[in-house]
Amino acid sequence: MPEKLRNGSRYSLAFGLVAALVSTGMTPALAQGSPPDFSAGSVAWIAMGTEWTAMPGGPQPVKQDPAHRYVPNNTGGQPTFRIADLSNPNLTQFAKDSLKKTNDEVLAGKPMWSRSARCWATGVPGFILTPAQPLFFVQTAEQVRMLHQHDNDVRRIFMNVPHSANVKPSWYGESVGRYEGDTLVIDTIGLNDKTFVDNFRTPHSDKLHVVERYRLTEGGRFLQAEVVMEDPAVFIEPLKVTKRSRRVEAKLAEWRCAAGEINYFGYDADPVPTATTPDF
Amino acid sequence: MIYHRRHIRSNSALVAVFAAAIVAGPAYAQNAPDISGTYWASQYNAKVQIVGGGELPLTPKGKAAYDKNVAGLKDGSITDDARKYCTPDGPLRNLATPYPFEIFQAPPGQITIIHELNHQIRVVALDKEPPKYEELVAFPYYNGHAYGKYEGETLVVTTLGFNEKTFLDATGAPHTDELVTTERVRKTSPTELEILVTVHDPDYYTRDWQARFVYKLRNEVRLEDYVCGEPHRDITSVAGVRRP
Repeated sequence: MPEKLRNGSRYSLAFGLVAALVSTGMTPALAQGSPPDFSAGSVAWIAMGTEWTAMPGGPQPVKQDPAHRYVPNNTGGQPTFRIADLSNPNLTQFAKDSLKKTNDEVLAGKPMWSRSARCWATGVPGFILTPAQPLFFVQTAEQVRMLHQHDNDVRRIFMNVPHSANVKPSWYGESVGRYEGDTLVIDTIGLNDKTFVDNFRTPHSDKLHVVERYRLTEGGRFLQAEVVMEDPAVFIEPLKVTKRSRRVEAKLAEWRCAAGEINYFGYDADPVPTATTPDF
Repeated sequence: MIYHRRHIRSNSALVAVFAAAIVAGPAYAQNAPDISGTYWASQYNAKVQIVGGGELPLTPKGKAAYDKNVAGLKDGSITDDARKYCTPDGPLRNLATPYPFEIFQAPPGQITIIHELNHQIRVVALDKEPPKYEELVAFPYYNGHAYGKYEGETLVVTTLGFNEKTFLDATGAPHTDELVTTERVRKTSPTELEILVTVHDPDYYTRDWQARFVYKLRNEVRLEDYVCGEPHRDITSVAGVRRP
């Protein structure tokens, strides 16, 4: 075969392969060397469980106090609220004091639904702990958006750029990202201190620095997040945890939790976000 | 041999380009116009402006609904949920937003519109036939269910399946849950986007009518978090905005 024709065939093959990937909606991340695609073919991700799993050898995340049984929803028994184990050796006194206050409120009978259940922005990395509802990705060369169906919350990740010099603290902070092979790496700073890093309400300061590494595992059936949280106000050593989400086929639904939930079953729960005066 | 190597390199480059196109979005739809970007209006009107001028062509039933909304918003018997609880603004009012919004021609088969105001997300399914009203009536959305297709340089979005919790504008212009909107979205210049929307709601309006919204491309602007009741970005540069 003439050399030119051989090269032409290779060209067509490569073109055809990529075109086929696009048109069939196959997960291009499975094509070696390409960046991971978490969004193709109406794909979304549902978090498995609502707590972090420690990475091997590292400090443990906050867990349930063994003196109090935690019964989640839909497990047959009367659900209870979480009580944090304050003996966790990786917590600073500030973190322990904050968690004790929450524990005391729960033990005094206050319903401590998750902040997301009360329609508050969940922050980083709490965003990926919201259960039951799918998380969607929109990916372009310069941008990634993480769209949670729960309350249609949005995270913005700016690709291949450095952090801004002066970041004003906000609910989701400033996230910059890059691809490292099959992994999306997201670096976040500039988080306000109004959110919690887990569902025990472990606090954080506005110095929290989060690095998340997302990649597909098991043939694209799962999304694995490795999360490193650094915040000397809260953790003695950086906390290194994982969260696994399972793949589902879904289209993002409009889903809002605020309207009409002001009196949550008549309980004295956290208020939902409300504007006392209209924005404009 | 040199020729051979050059081709291998160019082949690799092409593969890389097409692999990039997978995550880049717009290249997915052949010949689709590039309408991606961050857009921001420079004008806000509390009352919807009809193309051709004049008042809303209300039916008697529509007029009664409008009068009721206007009176209720004034005396507080009707809550403006979009401003108090930050629920989605709903049809037309979401187009009048004085906040920036983003259009992504991604993921493949979809347009994703993300608003800063009330963190509204509109998913436009591409090249799918809109279902009938009866199929959507059990799942009404504030912003409706949207279906789009490209017609030349224009994205045409048909939206239906709305709930009846929103107004078409901040004055309380009414709509029913049988409303169908058709938005024609196109770039009128490299830096301007136009959305011409047609309102079809025969129970409340004697004829179909149109409103036109224009936006500047503002890719240097990053959307911000929007949490109800918090201070938000400065929008005083948008003419017509009145902050209480």
